[in-house]
Amino acid sequence: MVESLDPRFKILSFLFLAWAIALSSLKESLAFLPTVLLLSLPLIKKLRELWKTILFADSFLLLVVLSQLFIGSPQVALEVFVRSNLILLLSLSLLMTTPTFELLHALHHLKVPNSLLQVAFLTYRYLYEVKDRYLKSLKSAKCKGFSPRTDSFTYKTYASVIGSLITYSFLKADRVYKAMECRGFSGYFPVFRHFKATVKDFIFIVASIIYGAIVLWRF
Amino acid sequence: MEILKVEDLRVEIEGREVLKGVNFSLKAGEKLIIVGDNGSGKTTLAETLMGFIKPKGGKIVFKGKELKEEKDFKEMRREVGYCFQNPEDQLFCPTVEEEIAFAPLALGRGRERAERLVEELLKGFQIEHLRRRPTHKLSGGEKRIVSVAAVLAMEPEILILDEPTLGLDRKRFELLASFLKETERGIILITHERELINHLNWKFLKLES
Repeated sequence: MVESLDPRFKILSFLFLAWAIALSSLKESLAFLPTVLLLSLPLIKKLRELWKTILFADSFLLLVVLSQLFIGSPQVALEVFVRSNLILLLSLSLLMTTPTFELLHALHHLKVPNSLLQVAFLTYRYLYEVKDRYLKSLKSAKCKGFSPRTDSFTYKTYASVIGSLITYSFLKADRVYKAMECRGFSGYFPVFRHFKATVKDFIFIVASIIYGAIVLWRF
Repeated sequence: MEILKVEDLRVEIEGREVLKGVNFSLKAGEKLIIVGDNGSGKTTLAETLMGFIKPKGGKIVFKGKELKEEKDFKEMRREVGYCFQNPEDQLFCPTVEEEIAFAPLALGRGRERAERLVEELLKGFQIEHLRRRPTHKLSGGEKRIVSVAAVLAMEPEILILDEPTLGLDRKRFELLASFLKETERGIILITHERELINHLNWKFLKLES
């Protein structure tokens, strides 16, 4: 169900819930747990990816929790751990159930500056391409007998690969801009498919707000 | 009436003379094939026509007006479509349908027209199944055909195609060849493909190295 929600409503609801969780005590944040788990249900299909992301984020969180354990109180450490993980899970269920371009489109409707969104859009669009290019260059080097060692030849090879990547990115940016100009680009990206809010989107946002308010108020 | 006229065009890149004494003209709906060895300046000629390279000498006249400054070329680019040699450079939108709809929407031709063009082109090039696919995840041949469709969505008076059949499979090659044969638009086609040149039998311009 979460996947099919209008991204604009999804962002607003998730932002509100994240804000409510951030304000909550340990008891209150545990009351948010069932909802967060319910919203994260679609992520079961990507369990491996989800675990990897959570573990990666938690490795940083661990430093904060440990410092609280030794300097502050265990209660605060636990609160920080629970709240951060709930917000993390909530953010992941938003990010992993909404295509990036739809997310950016929704942010445009929520009045995020256009130039910022264009930078984010183009970065996302070409990040994979640069990564592909990097991997291809390395593959090509390996096909020519290169095997990484801790010697100057290896460092030189990596420097050449990265250097060619920078040149490639620069030339690519120029070519893409030309292509955009050729097709009438004048500073904004027109969107072909627009969002259509339905009753279920309104129900979702109202339910999220009521739920968050009740938890904060009752517990 | 001549829609595009090139007179004694001369282009230098980094002090090296790439094109010299290029002359040709194109009437409305007329077709031209540009052939030449590797490095003979075919792509440079296309880029000069689009205003991306400033010529050292000669004249480019579009619809009776000589193109001199960037604003002249900008105006011309609304009516002349250019399909790059490398389709990877051409595709920048998130999905195939948005790629095709980009030009009509960006040129302010209205949503309905954009939708109609998207449907027509997806159907015409038999790529309806690619509609919602991210452009960067297409195969080489698919990218090529989508980039041609995206430029055609501009409904240009003249279409400049730089090696459009490179990397296409047989089915798509024939589809594109028959489109080129049947279309009433003016076309400048840069190609090495002997089979396509024979099939189209258009007038041609040979660039010497």
